[in-house]
Amino acid sequence: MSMQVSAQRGPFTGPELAFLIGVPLAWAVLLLFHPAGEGETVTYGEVQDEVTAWLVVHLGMMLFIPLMALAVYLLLRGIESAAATVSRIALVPFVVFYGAYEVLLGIGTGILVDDVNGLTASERAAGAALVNEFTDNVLIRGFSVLSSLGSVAFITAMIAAGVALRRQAGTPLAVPILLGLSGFLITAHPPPYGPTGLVLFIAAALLFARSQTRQEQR
Amino acid sequence: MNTPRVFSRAEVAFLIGVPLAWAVLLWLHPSTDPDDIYGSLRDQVVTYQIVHVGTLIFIGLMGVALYMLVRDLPGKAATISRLAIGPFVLLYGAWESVVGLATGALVQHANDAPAGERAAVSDAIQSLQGNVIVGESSVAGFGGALAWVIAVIAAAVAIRRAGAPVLATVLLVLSLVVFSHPPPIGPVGLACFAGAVLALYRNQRAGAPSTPQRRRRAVTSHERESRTTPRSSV
Repeated sequence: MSMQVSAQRGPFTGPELAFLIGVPLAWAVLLLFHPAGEGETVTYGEVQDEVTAWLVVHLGMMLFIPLMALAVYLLLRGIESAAATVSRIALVPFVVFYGAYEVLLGIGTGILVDDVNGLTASERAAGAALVNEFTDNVLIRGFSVLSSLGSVAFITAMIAAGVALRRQAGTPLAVPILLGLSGFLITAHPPPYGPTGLVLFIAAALLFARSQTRQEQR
Repeated sequence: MNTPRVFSRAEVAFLIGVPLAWAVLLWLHPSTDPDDIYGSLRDQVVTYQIVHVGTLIFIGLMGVALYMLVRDLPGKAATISRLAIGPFVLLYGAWESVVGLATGALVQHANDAPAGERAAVSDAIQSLQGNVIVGESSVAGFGGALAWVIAVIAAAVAIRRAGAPVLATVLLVLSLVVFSHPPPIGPVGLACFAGAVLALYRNQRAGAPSTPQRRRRAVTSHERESRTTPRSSV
């Protein structure tokens, strides 16, 4: 395996490290409040009593999805290789497709459930059927077109980022392994998977930052 | 300090092809009555869904295209443009997902529902469209549109300062109307974006070398020059 250290690449600055740790940590904390559901198909019954938490978590996710993409982009700062390019490119479909999936399933469903909660008891059954039909749509359900494309893009980005970082001198093998695992876990985002994946990402970022600092000191 | 931005043919094909392909798709965008979304869309729901799935992809691709235009340019305007692209893709994409895809899914459901239930689904569609966060006139829609306008105007300023012709600058500014994407406004704005790229490319061909060998020579010569006088150009 060829070892390379980019000329422009130095250790991360304090603010960069704070971003690399703060974004996944804040997202992990938010995800701890994620109501149950979002398995293969979300139902009205799973969300009806937790619609505020559902909406807050998914509005937050709308922000954390691009911020997480920025964190991966930052992790690859100054690295020029095919793997790094693949990772950077894959971040775009992740943000577009996974973001759209989250908005539809999270915010769209939340708004509908909130409306159905406001109906009279006799109308609610029809409303619940509408919500269930909506969340079972081919674009919106778990393993839908959008979630599959977005998840594959993110997993690709994380594996490629792991390969690109591993090729930097001094990077421990744990970094690509942790990044690869975190990719799978983050895309299955409700707890415990999402928060666990985000903690693994933080561990990978810290290990990589430490290895680069040591490399710089030699 | 930057090198002159010389687009390759593949880059130019992308920069012109993406807006033109989106413009063609948007010509098929059904028109809707804001007070009766279901009534407007029930007979054209498949077209509506195809247009909005495509639009979701094109929002990301237009973000990439605009980023390519300002990627290597120096200055505050280019930085502002690059920073505004992210919120555009995020917020406009989110808005588009709900107003386009969620509405399409509900219209499809209403079409499949018994006639007696259709009024309730129609109400749900109106309620979704009226939502303050992601509805037709919402925070996400307004934020995404504003981000696009800022990104495009800042990009126009950046390319002009880097020596782009007036025509390219004006056409790029005009492409800000894309935030209102249904025809005829959206396709016209996208044609302006493609026209701006074409004007940039023609300017580049007129004043800059076109073959890879010449480009390499030009970059080398620019590097020699920039050691003494830093400058930028498009």
